[in-house]
Amino acid sequence: MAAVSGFAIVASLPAVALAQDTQPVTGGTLNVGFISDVRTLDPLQSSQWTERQILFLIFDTLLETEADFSLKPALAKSWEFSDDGKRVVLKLQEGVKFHDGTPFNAEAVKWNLDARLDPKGNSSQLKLLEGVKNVEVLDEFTVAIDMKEPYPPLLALFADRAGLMASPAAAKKYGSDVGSNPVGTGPFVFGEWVRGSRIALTKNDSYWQKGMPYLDGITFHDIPTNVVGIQRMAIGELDFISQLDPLDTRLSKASPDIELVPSKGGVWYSYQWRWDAEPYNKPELRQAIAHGLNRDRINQIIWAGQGKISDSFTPDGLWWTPTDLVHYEYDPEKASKIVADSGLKGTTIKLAAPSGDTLRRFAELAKEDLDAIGLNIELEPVPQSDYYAKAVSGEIRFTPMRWTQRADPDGLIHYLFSSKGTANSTGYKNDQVDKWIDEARVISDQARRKELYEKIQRQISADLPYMPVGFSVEFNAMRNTVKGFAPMPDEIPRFRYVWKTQA
Amino acid sequence: MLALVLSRIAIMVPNVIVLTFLLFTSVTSFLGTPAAIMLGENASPQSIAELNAKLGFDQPILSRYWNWISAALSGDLGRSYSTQQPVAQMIADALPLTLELASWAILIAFLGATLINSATFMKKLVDRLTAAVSIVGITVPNFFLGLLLIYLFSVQLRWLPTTGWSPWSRGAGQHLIHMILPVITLTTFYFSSFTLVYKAEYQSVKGSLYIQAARSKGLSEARISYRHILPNSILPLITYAGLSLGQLVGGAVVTETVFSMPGMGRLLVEAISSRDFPVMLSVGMVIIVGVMILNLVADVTYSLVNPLVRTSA
Repeated sequence: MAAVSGFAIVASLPAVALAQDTQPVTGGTLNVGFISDVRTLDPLQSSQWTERQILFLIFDTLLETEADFSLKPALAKSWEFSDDGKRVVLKLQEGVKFHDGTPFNAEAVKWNLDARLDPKGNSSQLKLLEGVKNVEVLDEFTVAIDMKEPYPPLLALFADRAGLMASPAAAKKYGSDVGSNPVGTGPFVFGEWVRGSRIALTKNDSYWQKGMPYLDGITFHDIPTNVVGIQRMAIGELDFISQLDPLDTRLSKASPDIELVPSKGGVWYSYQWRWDAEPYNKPELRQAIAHGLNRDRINQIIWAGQGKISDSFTPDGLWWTPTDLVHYEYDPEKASKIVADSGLKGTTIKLAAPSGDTLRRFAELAKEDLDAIGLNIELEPVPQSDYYAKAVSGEIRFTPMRWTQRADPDGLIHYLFSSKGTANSTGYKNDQVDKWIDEARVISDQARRKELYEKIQRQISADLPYMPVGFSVEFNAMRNTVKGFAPMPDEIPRFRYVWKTQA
Repeated sequence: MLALVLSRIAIMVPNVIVLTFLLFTSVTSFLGTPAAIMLGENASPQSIAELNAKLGFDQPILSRYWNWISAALSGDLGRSYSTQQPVAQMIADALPLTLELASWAILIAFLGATLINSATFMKKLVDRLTAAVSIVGITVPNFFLGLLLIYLFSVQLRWLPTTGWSPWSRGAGQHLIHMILPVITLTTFYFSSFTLVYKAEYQSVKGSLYIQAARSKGLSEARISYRHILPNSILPLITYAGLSLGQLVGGAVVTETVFSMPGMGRLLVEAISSRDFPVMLSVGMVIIVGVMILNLVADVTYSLVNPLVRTSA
């Protein structure tokens, strides 16, 4: 009972109040349980979600993201745009050292960005940074970045993986083994990595931000399932687990020592199709699917009723989230009528999904709904490893899909809905929308951008390149000795601000 | 004896070639290509195609197999796609743990099944106990048994740690305490199947003439059981144990995953989930060669124990 009420209180408090409920104390090791798929701790190569929560401890970013996705200084203490927004000059913190004792300076920033931009380096961020033309060292602590065209969203990238600053000396020393020997400037120093068992970090005693971090160390323990994780948390072996789904939380509610904190945004789910190809290029078919999908039932079955149905691909609380999008009410009669009237009755369409995954359940539920309105859905399982590549290349024509939020609206909007977007897997192309997207990404006035992004999203919701479902709900579970945790919209726990009331 | 070993090794070489070829073709044909997973969600179809070409996925399968096996035979297992570590190093790190886990399990199961089931002085209790354990061991999946043991001994009773591993370097005591639950998990299946095989053989030997002769000489039941029946009924068990080593791999995969132990099984599971082909192939090859060597050892042991086989070879 205590855990249930704890959950209710935590859920209703804003993050700031949560963070201030006690004064930080120092010491102790935070034991985090995670279902590990960590492959590398080299920020230049990292592409897994789980890696980021560890990278954000060993490394610092140039800028940092706040809970509303606004930006604050970090290794870069200030920035200034010039040349009509095509050049940004970063002023860096002085006196910062990497864990190997080498200094952090403008040369190091240049090395980090150049290495990511080197086509031979295969960096996972190469594509994101393609707008960068040149990186120039102005003096020891000032660096200038020139872009091919104005691109304000660049700063948001510097608050994420692309802004994690690694030691150039360590890269040289370890070569291709640098992913197992990460050296950054962050509040924690890499300790040991026993693959398949644990990754241990220790406090950086000479961290440049005074008084930080509070913990002596953080250890990430591999767990086979969340069920085991919650059991280990109940007996005190673990302090924190993230990414619990609503079904997992039943177990943790039985323990009075465990608090549940819901995630901030959730992951966005939708059904998408090849907008430009038969038969999805028929607006009637898209309308019929939109009215034929019972989104509440999906929420009940997959998210235990705790997800949030949404007509938008951005969650509430972000500055670019619109309020008045086209709403497609669940109306199977109307959907059946559209199917019958437009001669689509009995049309066979293939619905692809990766095997053994939430997306497969999305596909199964859609089949039941859409068969009922007169369509003939054939489920098509795709190997997990091929799924994403096939979806992005457009080979898969109808599929449930999930995306996580980016710190700038351009991140997702240009990526998915510009006809030039690198992951425009729906083949969506609306010249007016293209023009608005190009316009919005190069202006820095937020009010004007908001106006444009609302227009863009309204048009997309009318054109229906996909049918939005909504946002999943996930929980972070932590022992009540853990303090200072605030959920972030990118779902990555920022353990650097956490402390424990008992060691 | 030497002739037996040499002839068996001569058969092993073509076997290894055929099996590794099957392994290679099945792994690289059915699991898709690794580039999409390696490049992550920001990858464009073009960069995925480029990386696949760089990794050699555009070449014919025979030449890819030849490149792999010839490098492997010269000792170069390549580098992991995902961790960039040398695969040989990763295997060298993981193998001792799995060997230790498997050795404990086989040793305890073998000794336990033969010694306990030969105990005549408390026959009723032993029979009931081993029947119960055998049913559990044969029917309950390892995964479930492991979770059950964690719940019982770690969560409820709090006698043992839930994480299954602590290296020797942190002290033998810690190491062995962490080994208990995984070893029980893996042993239960082997103890059960060994018990079933051993008991059947025990019964048939027990009825034979020389045992009756021994009994008529007035020897004690315990002496008859341990000195005469046990050595004679153990022979088929050695063969059976040799044959069940292949299953050990599956058991180790599951046990190491449940208890988060960094052994070969865990290495294989992680390699599969990230389509890390160099690791998958090398682990597969080590398993193939390892099982063959262990079968050979079982055969040699059998012929040492049973002089009949030795003379016929």
